[in-house]
Amino acid sequence: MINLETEPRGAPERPIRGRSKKVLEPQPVHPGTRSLLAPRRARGNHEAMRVCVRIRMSGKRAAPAAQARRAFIFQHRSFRSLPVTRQRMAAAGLLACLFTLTLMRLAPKVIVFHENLCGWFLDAFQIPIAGWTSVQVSGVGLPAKAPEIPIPPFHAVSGGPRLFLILAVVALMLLARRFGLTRNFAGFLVILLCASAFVCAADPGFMISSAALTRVWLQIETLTWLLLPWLGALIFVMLQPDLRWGALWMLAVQIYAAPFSAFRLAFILAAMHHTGMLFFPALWFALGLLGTLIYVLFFYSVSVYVSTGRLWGARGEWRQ
Amino acid sequence: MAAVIVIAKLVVAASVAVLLAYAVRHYVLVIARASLRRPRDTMDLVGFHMPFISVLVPMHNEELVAPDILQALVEADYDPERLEILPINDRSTDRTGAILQEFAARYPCIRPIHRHEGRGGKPAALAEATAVARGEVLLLFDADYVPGKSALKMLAAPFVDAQVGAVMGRVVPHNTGDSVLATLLSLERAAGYQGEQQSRFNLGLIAQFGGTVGGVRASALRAVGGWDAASLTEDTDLTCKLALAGWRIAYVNRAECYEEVPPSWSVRRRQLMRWVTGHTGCLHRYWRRVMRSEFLTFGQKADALFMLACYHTAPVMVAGWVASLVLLFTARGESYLALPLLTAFLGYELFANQATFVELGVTAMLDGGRNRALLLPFHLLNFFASTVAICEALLRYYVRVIRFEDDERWDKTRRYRQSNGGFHSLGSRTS
Amino acid sequence: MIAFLAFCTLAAAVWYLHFALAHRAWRRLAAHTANEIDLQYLRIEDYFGRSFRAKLGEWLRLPEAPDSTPQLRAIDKGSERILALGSSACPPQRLSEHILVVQGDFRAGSGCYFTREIYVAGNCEIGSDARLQAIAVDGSLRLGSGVVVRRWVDASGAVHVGRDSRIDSRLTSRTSITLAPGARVLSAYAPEVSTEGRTEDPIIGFSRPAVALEIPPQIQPRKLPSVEGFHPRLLRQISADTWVYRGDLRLSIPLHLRAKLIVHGDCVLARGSYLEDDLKAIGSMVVGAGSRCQGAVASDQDVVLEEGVLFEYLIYANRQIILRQGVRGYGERPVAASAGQYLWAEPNVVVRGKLAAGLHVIAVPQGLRLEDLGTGTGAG
Repeated sequence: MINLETEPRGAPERPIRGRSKKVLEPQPVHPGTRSLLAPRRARGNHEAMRVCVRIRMSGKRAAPAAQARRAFIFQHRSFRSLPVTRQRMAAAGLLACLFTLTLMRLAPKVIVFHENLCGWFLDAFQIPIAGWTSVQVSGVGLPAKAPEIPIPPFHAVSGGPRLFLILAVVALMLLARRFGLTRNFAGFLVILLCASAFVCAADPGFMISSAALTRVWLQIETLTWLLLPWLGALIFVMLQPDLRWGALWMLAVQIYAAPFSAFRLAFILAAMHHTGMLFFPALWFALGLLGTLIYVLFFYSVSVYVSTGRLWGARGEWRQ
Repeated sequence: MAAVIVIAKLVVAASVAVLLAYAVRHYVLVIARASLRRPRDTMDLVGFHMPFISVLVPMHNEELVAPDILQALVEADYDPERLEILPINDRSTDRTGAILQEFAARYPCIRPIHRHEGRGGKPAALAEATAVARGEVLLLFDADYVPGKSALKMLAAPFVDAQVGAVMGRVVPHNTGDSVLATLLSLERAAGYQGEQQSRFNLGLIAQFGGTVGGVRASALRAVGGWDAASLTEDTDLTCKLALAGWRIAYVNRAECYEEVPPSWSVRRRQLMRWVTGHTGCLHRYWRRVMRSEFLTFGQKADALFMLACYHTAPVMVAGWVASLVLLFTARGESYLALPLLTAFLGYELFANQATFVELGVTAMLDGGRNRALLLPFHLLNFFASTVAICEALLRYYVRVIRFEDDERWDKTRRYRQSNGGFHSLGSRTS
Repeated sequence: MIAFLAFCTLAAAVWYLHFALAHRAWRRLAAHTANEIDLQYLRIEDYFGRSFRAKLGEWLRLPEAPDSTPQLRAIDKGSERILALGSSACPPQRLSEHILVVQGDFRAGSGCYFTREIYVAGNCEIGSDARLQAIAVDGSLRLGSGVVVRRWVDASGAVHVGRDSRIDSRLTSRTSITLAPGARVLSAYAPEVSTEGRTEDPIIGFSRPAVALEIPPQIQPRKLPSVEGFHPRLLRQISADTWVYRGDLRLSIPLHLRAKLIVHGDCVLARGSYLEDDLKAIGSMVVGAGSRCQGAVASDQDVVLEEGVLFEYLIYANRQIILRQGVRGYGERPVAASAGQYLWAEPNVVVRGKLAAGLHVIAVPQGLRLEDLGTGTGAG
C-alpha cells in the first residue's frame, strides 16, 4: 500500500484551522481556466499540503493530450435558470430609479448636447440653417432650440427628388424580390412612399415645419430616454446573469440614445430640406419608431452574446 | 374627417391595449421561465414508468425520410415487449408502402397501416391508426423527425400522473444553417419550447400539444372524441378538448427530436397560413367552452384565450399602424402629444415590441446559443414577413366563413432532407 | 446634393452597422461545420460513473509522464495529471488536485480535499469532513460524517453515506445504499436504498380492509355510498378508467381504489387503504398508515406516506415527499419516489429502486418532528 505522505513544498506543515466554510468548500472547478501544472495554493488559513509524491525527473516530457479542456461528461443541453431573485429585482429597480433621476437632472444639458450635435451634422452636410427657434418640449417642460430649415412644398420640389422616390421604390421592390424575408418590410416602405406621394400631390397643405418636427421629436425622445432605464433594468439587469455587466449595458444604451437621436433627426431634416414631405412618413417610421427598437435590439443581442459566453464558460460543474 | 380621426384614435388605443396585454403575458412567462430554479419535469422517473405504447407515424410520400425514423424507433431504448410502431402509409404514390413492408418483415414490432381511400390528411390517418392501436399511450412523430434513443421513455414518463392526458416534447431544428430563415426559425422554436411551453407547464397553465414529438393517453383521446379529421390543426384541437375535459398536458423539455424547418420563405408562408387557419378555427369552436369550463382556473382560461387568439395580434398591429398613418397625415400627429397618451404609446413601443425579442434572448442564454443571439436584429424582418402572412391567412379564413365555405385542404410541408437509408448523421448548429 | 448623398451613405452605413454583427453571425453559422447531435444518448441512472470509467480507460492508455515510477504512474492529460497507484491511504488534511486512479483499496483521512475525480478498484473509505469532486468505486464505499461530494458517486458495492454528508448529484450503487441521519443526496438509486434503523419485519402489516369505500372503473356515482368526507355527486367520470373528484377528499374509512382517480383538492386517506390504480391530488396527499399502493401516487403539492405504507410503483410530488418510519417501496420492478423539492425519509425506510428530489433527498434524524421543518403539507 502506498502511503501518500507529503513532501512539503515551501511552508512547513500546518493543520487546517477551524471549520471555515470558505476554506473547506471546494472551489468551483473550471477546467482550462487555470493551469494545473503548478498546484494552486488554497485561500484562507489553510496552508495547502499538496499530495506530492517525489518522483524522478528524467528525459523529455510526455506529449500533452490533444485538448486541455475536458469535454463535459454529460452534455446537458441547457441551463436551468438565471438568478432572478428578489434582490436582483430590487437592484434593477434601484438602478432604473437612479438612471431616471440622473437623467432628469441632466436633461437640460442633454438637450443642449442634442441640439449642438444635430446642428453639427446639418452644417457638416451643408444643410442651411436659417436660424434657431425656441421651442418648449412640453412633455418634460424644458426649453430647447430647433433649427429653422427651409422645407420646400411639393410643387416646389424639383424633378430630382421625385426621380429619387421612384428609384427608391424600384430598389425596394428589387430587394424584396431578391430576399424573400425582406419582402414585407420593403413592401410596407413602398406603401408608405406611395401614400406620401399621393397625399403630397393631393393635399398641398400637408407640411410640417422643422421647428414643429424638432419639438415633437424631442418630446418623444426625452420621454423615451426616461423610459429606457426601466426597459434596461428589465432586460439587462433582471434577466441576465451578471448585475455589473447589466448595469454597464444600461449605461451604454443610455449614452448611445442621445447622439443617435441627434443623428436621425438631422438626417430626417436634411431629407426634408431636399425632398420636402415625400420621404417624411417612411423616414418617420424607419428612423423614428423603428430606430429606437433597432438600437435597443442591437445592444440587447450583444449583451446576450456576452452573457451567454460568461454563463456557459463558468459552467464548471453540472448536477445532472 | 373628424369622424375619421376619432376612429383612428380609437383604433390606435385598442391596438395599444391589446398588444400591451400580450406583452405583459410575454414578460410574465419569460420572467417565470428565467427564474425557475427547477423546471417541472419527470426526468427522475424516466425508465420507471413504461406503459405499453403505440408509436404512430403518418406518412404520405415519405420515401426520402421513412427509413430514418423507423430505424431510430426500432433502436429506441424502450422495452420491446411494451412497444408497437404503427407507420401509416396514407395513399402514398411513391415507395413509402414498400419501405414500410420491408421494415415490418424485419421487425415484428412494426405493424404498417396502408390507407388507399377515405379522407386525406394527418388527422384522418391518425384516427384510423388509433382504432387499432393497442397502447395505453399513443406517441406521435411526423415522418421527417428523428427521435433520440431515450425519447420514448422520456415522453412516457409524465403519464405517471393520472391527470396527464397528453405530453409534448421539444422540437429542435437540425437544418439551421440552410438559410437565414431556418436559423431564425430555430431561435423561434427554441423560445416557443424552452421558454413558453416550459413556463406555461410550470405555472400550471395549458401547455400546447403539438401533434408531433408528443403523446396522448388513449383512454383520454377516446373520451374526448378522438381526432378531428376536419381540422387543419388537430393538435390545437386536441389540446382544447383535453383541457376542457379536465386533462393536463405535460411538457418534457429534454425529450428532444430533430425536425426540418422550412428554409425558404414560400414554404414557411404556407406552413404559417395552415397554422393560422387551424388555430383560428379552434378559437371559434372553443372560446365559449373555455370561458364556461368548470375544470379550468381563471389563469388557465385567460392564457388559453390568449393562446388561441394570438394570431389576431397581427391584424390588430397592422390596424394600429394604418390608424397611426391616418393620424399622421390628417392630424399631423398632434394627437400623440398629450403626455399620458404619449407615455403609454412609447411604453408600448419600447416594452411591447421588445417582449418577443427578450423571450428569444433569454432562451438563447439558457440554451447557450451565443451566435444565434446576435441574429436578433434579423428577426425584425421575420416579424414583418410573418405579420403579413398571418393577416393574409386570417383574411382568407374570414372570407371563407362569410361565404359559408367549409373546404380546408391539408397542405403537406415540403421535405428537403435526403434519406440516410436507415440511420442518421444529422447536424445541428448548437452555437 | 452631393453632400446630401454623402449623408445618405453615412446613414445607410450607420443603419447597416446595427445589423453588421447579425450579418457576421449568420455568415459564421452558415460556414460552420454542423455538430453531431447525440442521438445515441441513453438516460441511465449510473451514466456518470459509466462515462467516467470509459473515459478513464482511454486516458490510462496515454503515454506516461517521464517522472513516473513503477509504484506511481503519472499521466499528463493536457493541463491535468492522472496518478495511478495501488492500494493507498491519504493522511488527514491533505489536498489533491489530480485525478486519482487507485487499483486497490483507498482510505482517506478526515478533512481531505480532492478537487478531481477518484476511481477506486477496491473498497473505499472517506474520512469525515472530506471534500470530493466525484468518485467511482468498484467495491464498497463508506463516506464519513460531514463529507461533501460536489458531483456524483457511483459504486458497485454497498454505499454508506455518513451523518450530515452531502452528495450534490446522483448516487448510484449496484448493491445497496444506506443513508445515515442528516445525509443528503440529489438522488439515490440502488437495488435497495434505505435509511438507518431498518427492521426486517414491517411495523404495520397490510390487510385488505373489511370496510372500505370502493371506487371501481365503471359505476354510476349515485350508487356509491355517501361517507364522511366523500360526496358522490362530486365524482365525475372523464374517461373509461378515470374519475375526477371535485373537492377535498378526507376519508375516515379506508379507500379501495380500482380505477384512476384525480382529486381536485387535498386527499387524506385513512389507515389501511388499498390503491390498485393511480391516484392524483391537485392539492396535497396523505396516505394513511399501513396502506398499500399498487398504482402511482402523484400530487401537485406534497405527498406524505404514513408509517408502514407499502408502495409498489411510483410516488411523484411537485413539492415534497415525506416517507415516515417503516415505509417500504417494493415492486416487481424497481420503484421510485421523486419530489420536485425535498424528499424526507425517516428511519427504517427501505425502497428497492430510487429516491430523488429536485433539491435534496434528506434522511431525517430519529426523533425529529417533521412538523418542525415547516413542510407546509397543510393536509395532515
